[in-house]
This record gives sequence, structure tokens and C-alpha cells, in this order.
Amino acid sequence: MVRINNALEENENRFTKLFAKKNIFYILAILILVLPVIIRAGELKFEDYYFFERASSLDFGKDDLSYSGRDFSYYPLGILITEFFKGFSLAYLIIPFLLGLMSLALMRSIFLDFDEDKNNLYLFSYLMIFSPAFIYCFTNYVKEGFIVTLLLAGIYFFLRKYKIISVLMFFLTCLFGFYSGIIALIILIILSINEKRKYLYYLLSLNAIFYFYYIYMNGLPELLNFNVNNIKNYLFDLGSPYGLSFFLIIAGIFGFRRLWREKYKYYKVYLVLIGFFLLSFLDNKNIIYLGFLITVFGAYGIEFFIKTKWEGEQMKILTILIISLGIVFSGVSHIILSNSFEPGNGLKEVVNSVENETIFSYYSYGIYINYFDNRNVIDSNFHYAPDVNERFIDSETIFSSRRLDKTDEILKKYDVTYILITPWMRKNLWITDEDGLLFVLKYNPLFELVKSKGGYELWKVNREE
Amino acid sequence: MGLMKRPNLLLLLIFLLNLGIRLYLSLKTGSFSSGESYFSLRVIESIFQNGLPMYYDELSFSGRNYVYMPLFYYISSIFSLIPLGLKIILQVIISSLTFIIYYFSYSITNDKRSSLVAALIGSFIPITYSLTVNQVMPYILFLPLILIIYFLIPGLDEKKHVNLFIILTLILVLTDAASFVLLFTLLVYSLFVFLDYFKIDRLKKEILMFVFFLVLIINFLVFKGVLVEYGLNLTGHNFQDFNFLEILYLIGLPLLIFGISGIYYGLTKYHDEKIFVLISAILGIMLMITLKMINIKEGVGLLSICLAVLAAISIKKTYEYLSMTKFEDVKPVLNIFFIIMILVLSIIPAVTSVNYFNEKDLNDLEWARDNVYEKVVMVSPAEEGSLITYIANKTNVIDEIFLLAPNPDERLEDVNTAFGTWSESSALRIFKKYNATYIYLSDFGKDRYQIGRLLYGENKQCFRRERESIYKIVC
Repeated sequence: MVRINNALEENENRFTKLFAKKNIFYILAILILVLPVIIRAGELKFEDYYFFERASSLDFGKDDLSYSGRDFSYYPLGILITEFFKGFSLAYLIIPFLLGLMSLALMRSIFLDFDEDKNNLYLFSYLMIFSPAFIYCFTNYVKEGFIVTLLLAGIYFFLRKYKIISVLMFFLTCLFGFYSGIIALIILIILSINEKRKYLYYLLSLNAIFYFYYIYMNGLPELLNFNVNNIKNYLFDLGSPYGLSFFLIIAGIFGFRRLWREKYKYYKVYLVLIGFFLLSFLDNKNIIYLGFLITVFGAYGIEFFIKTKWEGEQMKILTILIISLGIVFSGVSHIILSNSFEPGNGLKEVVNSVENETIFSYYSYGIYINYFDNRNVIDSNFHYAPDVNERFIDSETIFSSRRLDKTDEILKKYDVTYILITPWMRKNLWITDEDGLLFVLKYNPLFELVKSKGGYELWKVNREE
Repeated sequence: MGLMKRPNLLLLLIFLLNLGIRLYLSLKTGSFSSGESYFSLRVIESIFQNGLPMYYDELSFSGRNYVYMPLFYYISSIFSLIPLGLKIILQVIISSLTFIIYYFSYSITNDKRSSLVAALIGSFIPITYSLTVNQVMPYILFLPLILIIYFLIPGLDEKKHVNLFIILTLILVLTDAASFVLLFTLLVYSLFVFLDYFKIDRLKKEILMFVFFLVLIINFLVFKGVLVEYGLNLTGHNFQDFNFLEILYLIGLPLLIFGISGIYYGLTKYHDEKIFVLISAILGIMLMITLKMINIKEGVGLLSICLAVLAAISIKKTYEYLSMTKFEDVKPVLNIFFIIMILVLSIIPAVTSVNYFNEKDLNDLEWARDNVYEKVVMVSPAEEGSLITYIANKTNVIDEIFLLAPNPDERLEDVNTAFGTWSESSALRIFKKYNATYIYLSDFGKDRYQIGRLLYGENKQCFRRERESIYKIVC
């Protein structure tokens, strides 16, 4: 028995030596944060930057390009930060990097408050830097990077009893969007269980003031009758840039099993998990926050494998190796794929070839259309958009209809002068190139292909004046 | 029925009958029975030429990439060194199912007679015949392997088969993407364990966990790109032909009746882990078919093999029931009746389900190889696309390998229109779209589209008949 204990201790020491090198960890983290930027040659991916950058040059009042003209009703903080760094484009690459390092430090510190075991801390840290959600948030200029950092700062200050600062941090998240505000509230509500509630009431009051002001200025938004969520967004391995890694989920399940040994001790974490999971149904992008939490469970899952005694010791090592490799593989895939996300060069070139036109496309390309000074019919900023439900239905009709009269009627309604077709649309909206809109474009002289690059096509609507 | 007292001899006879029929059906022609077999031959050729399987093909779909597991092709390349080796050895491998089904059934029922009947039914399942006779495809190795793996799972606690189990699993994973079925089986199996249907010991839990992750990571590493592009749809099709009656016919009525009642008896009267392994497999396969992760016919083929093992339970019950009735006296007659029923409802459909390409049509393709300019594009039905590339060495518009192919559904629809339409202009538009200058319409294609000839082929100004099955587009 003594010999077994010694052997276990020895293993654990070896394990500690292997992982617990702070410098090595931070060097690796920096590498992971920098590599995607190098691979995509400093190009900015995803729509947030393109939206913030354009919106920061607008007067508060009117946006003439989005939905071909709408009221300025955007959440302000992302726009203000982007405006502040205008003219210093390197900032948009450096900011996510710094936020990433800051978040890692905060996460490690918070983790240590719950578990003093250094091995678990390093397991968690290594899993985190390879998780798709982390790489997405901190190698791209996206609002979720700011939100995650603010949430972590909020939790950190709350635990350190700087509760006013904590409330302030949580409040700032609601200036990025509605769901981030809700997430901050969920976290603070759960942190405040068995604590004095006055700070929770502060946050509630601040949020309420902000949202009332927001609604006072903009009115109530039109409820969306359509759903753009997709189950594929949940899994990175099925193509979602911010989805969960399959191996991390599996490790997370075992982590849950490990934590459940202590029954309700971690009930606050479980409550946050449930809250995030429910929110991901409302908007798939909220899966990002769940991704960070699942990483904690993943770390305990690996710990569970390491500490459980197996009949076959080799099998145990191989299993741990496979799971770890699977998780690392997701992270490495994300880094390798980092240049394949939108906007690609083809999209930029094609949309930039015209100016001051109304371009119809799938909603997810709307913000890029605006960025290059063209009007769109619909984009992903659905809330407060004019006639958003009608526009969505009209878009769907255009995509699916092979009848020219129907398509032309809707195009006239929105004064569309160009149509943008992308490889993603060809693959996901239609089966053959004679389905729906593709049929109409192909066989009608009303439409003329004026620009094409890398599968991105711009079709002109030749309407007689 | 003295023979019943010598079950091993009977088992050998069933195996020899199965192998004999398979070899007869395979060797009576010099060709193979599917486009996929010809694709395999090209991969084997590539292995001989470059030492590596073919991952880019400039002839298929006018240029495309492939992703597949390579092990089967390496093994087949060794078999191909022996004259007729591919035809004979692959049939010996798939015929071994007779023994596997027998021993699996016997381990459940402990009854030799019913296990023999199950082996007989399982040896002549029409759908496995149509998928494996005179073919060169990974499925031939996959079927016996997965059934052995299922057979080994319940005995893993005894330690002695652990190495064999892991090695076979590794071979299975490197053989066919359908190894995902093992993952789904293990998932459903662990659900049964979780629900306390039976208990498993720690060693087995560890081994199964290890195997689960092993299968998962290898498939993820190889098919990562496919998963990102297609999601879980590993067939590459957006839709699959599904004819319920045809599927029923291809499973065979005796198997269906005995198999389903075997599941019922297995769940209600037995409490055997082996039955739960098979039921887990059946549920896993059904889930995979629903998620389009496996070709319907291949999925149903595997399902049928599992049903064949389970059928032994209901066959045993039937014999037990009969022994309590007056039919006991006419048992030999009943045995003969059983055999005739299986013969009529399984063996005959099995034998007739094997497809052959017409030798004359294949000769036409050989003529095209020698007499037609190398870089032309030839249109054919999807099922014969690989014949165009392998025999005629010409570029095809479409073939059976859909995964990672460019616009497979669009091409399929276009080719179906081109062969099915009366409109010459529609057909010409499609031919022009793919730069096709030759059409291959064999007897198989005529059957496939239910046409007696190329419907618009009378226009001599546009279509010149070069051979019986080959037309040149001249306008």
C-alpha cells in the first residue's frame, strides 16, 4: 500500500513538473494568440469590426446604408472603442491579444479561488488556450472578446470584495448588447446567493436605467418571427468558428461526473451552466460563454481520468492522450482555418467594385455590403430594423422562387440594383445551380454577371429607367 | 436427420454452399459488378504506381479530391498479386460470416440447430449479396470485422480477447468510415449500462472507453474537412433513393420475421449482454441512417447481419413451441419446409440481386480507351462513372463516390435529365455545361432510365453512334 501511494505521489510530481511551468504556458498562449493573425496576414475577420468601424463614422441618428436606411439604434460601447482607436489600425489586432492575456490571468486567478490544486489550474489553462471559443474571441476583433474580459473582471472584483468595480464591469457588458447584459445579470445573481444583495440591486438598477433609456430613445423592437439559429453552430467540429470542441464536451461530461461526487457543492456553477445553455437557444452565439465554462468541466474530466485508478494503466495513458490530442486538434484546426473565415478577398473585391448601390444578398453579408458603401436589404442587426420580418420573408421568397415576376416585384420593392451570390450561399441555400434565384439569374437577360472572383458573383439588375 | 447430430459438418456445408455460389457468381464474368469496385481497382493501381492511395483524381467529376480510409486498398493490393485473388479471397472473407453468425447465435441460444438455421439465413441475405458478390469494396472486410467486434464485447471482462479486440477495432477504423457505427453502438450500449440493464466490470469499461476515443480521434483526424463541409452527412448525398419495399425484399422475409421476433424475445425473455450489444448496434445503425452518416443500403446490410444473429432466438423458440405440439412427429418435414422457405425467400432473391454489366458494353469502353482522344469527357449514369475512368480512361461527369465531389446533387440531377428527357436541346445544354462530347448508354443505363435507346439519338447531325453503347456528340 505504501509503495502504491509513493508511486502515485511520484506520478503526481512528474505531472506537476511537466505542466506547471508558468513561462512555458504563457509563451504557448502568446503563440496561439499570434499565429492566426500571422496566418491571415493581419486581415480582420468576422463582421463585428466592419460594423463598428462604419458605425463609428455615423452621426447618432440615422444609418443610411443598413436596411437601405434605418434609425441609429445600436449598442454604443463597441462603436465607441473602435472610434477611439480610429487611424491606428494595428490596435484592432493588438486589443484582442491583450484582452486574451488579461482574460487568461483573470481566469487563472478566479480558478485558484475555487481550487488550489496547481495541476488542475494548468490543465484548465492549457485546455482554455486550445478551445475554439478562446481562439475566436481573442484572435479576432469581436465584441465577445470584450464581453468575456469584462465578465471575468466582474467576477474577479466581486470575489476580491471590490464590489462596486465589479458592478461597473458587469454593467459595461450590457452596453455591448442585450444578451451580454442578461449574462452579466445571471452571473451576478448567482454570485449574490448567500451574499448581501445590494450590489445585485445596483446592477439591476443600472441595467434598468440603461434599457429604459434605450427603449425610450428607440421604442420597443419588432419581435422576430423567424429563427436563424442552427444546430451546427454548437459544434466547432461541424464548422462553427466559436462552437464547442467535441472532445472538450466529452471531457466536460466526465468533469461533471467528477464534480458531482461532491453533489451540490458547485451548484452555482451548475446554475450558470444551465443559464448559458438556455441562452444559447435564443441566440447560438451565446454558446461562446458556455464554451468557456465547459473548459472548466473539461479540466476536471481530464483530472478524473488521471486520478482514477485503471486496471490497464497503458490504456489509461492512451485514453488521456487521445482526448487531449482531440482538444488540441480543434484548437490547431481553428488556427489553420483562420484565413478561411469571412470576409475573404473575393467578397471584398466583388462588393467593393460598385459604390452607392443597393445590393441584395443573404443577411450574413449585409454588414460587409455596408462597409464598402453600399446599401443592403437586410443584415444581421435585426433588432430595431424596419420591417425586419417582412424583409426576411421577402429574402426567403427571392432565394427560393424560380418565377421572375415574383422575384422582380420584390427586387423593385427594395430598389435592388445588384445581387451578391457567394460560395456559401450556393452550398447552403440551393442544391443545383438551377434552383430558386440561381435559375432566375441564369436564364433572364434582366440580370447580368458583372463581377466574379473566387466564387463570389455580383449580378446587375438591368432595369430600364 | 442424422446430419443434425453433426452440426460442424452442416456448418461447413452451409459455408461451402455460400462460398460456392458466391464464387460461381463472381467468376462467371471477368468484370466486377459495381462502379465502386472499379474505383477500388484504380486506388489499387495508384498504390502499385506511387505507393500511396489516390487522393486526387483528374478524371472523376472532371477533377476532384477524395477522402477515405486506406487500409482495405492496401490489403486488396496484396490479394491482387494472385491471379483472380481479388475475386476469390474477398469472397472467402465475406463467406466467413457464416461461421461468425453461427458462433454468435450459439453463444446466445446455446442451441446448435437454431444457430445453424440462423447461419443459413444470415449467409444468404439478398442485400449483402448485392453489396458484396463480385465486388471490391471496403464493406466486404467491414462486415465480418464489425460482427467479430460485437461478438468480443461481452467477453472482454475475461481479459483474454482484449488485444484481439483492440487490434480488430484499429483495422476496422482504418478500413471504412462506416466504423462510426461502432461509436453509436457503444453510445447506446453505455446507455443500457447506465439504465442498469446489465453490469460491466471496470476493465471492460476502460477498454470500451479507450476504443471509443480511438475510433473517434482517427475518424476526426481523417474526416475533419468533411465534417466541416457536410456536417454529419458522410454520404455526400443530400438525398438518398429509398424504396421501402425494395429494402424489405433485399432483407428477405424469413430474416425480417425471425429477426424482429428475436429482438422481442431477446428483450423480454433473455437477459443477455450479447443481445443488448446487438440491439445497441441496430439502434446505432438506425440513428446513422437517419443522420445520413451511412449509405442506406450499407446500413441495412449491417442491420440484417445483426438481425440474423438475433433470429436464432426466435427460431429456437419456434422449435421449442413445435416440440410441445403434435407437429413434433413431423419435425424432419418441418426442417425441410424451413430450408425450402429459406431457399425460396432468401437464396433465390440473393442470387438474383447480383448486378452485372454487359460484357459487350464493357468491350465498347475498351474500344473507347484505344480509339477515342484521351482528354474527352464522357457522360454516363452515376453508377457507371468509375467504369468510364477505369476501363475507358476518360473523364466522367459523375460517379458513385459523392463525398467531396463538386456539386454531386446538381450533376446527378443533370445526368438524370440528360438521359431521361426527350428534349434534345435540354440534353445538349447539359452536355455543353460539362464539356461532354461522348455519351455512354449501356444496357444498365437503359434499365436504369427505362429507355430502349437514347431518346434524341435519331438526329444524326448531332449524335453519331460510334459503337452499340457509345455516341459521339457532333453538333
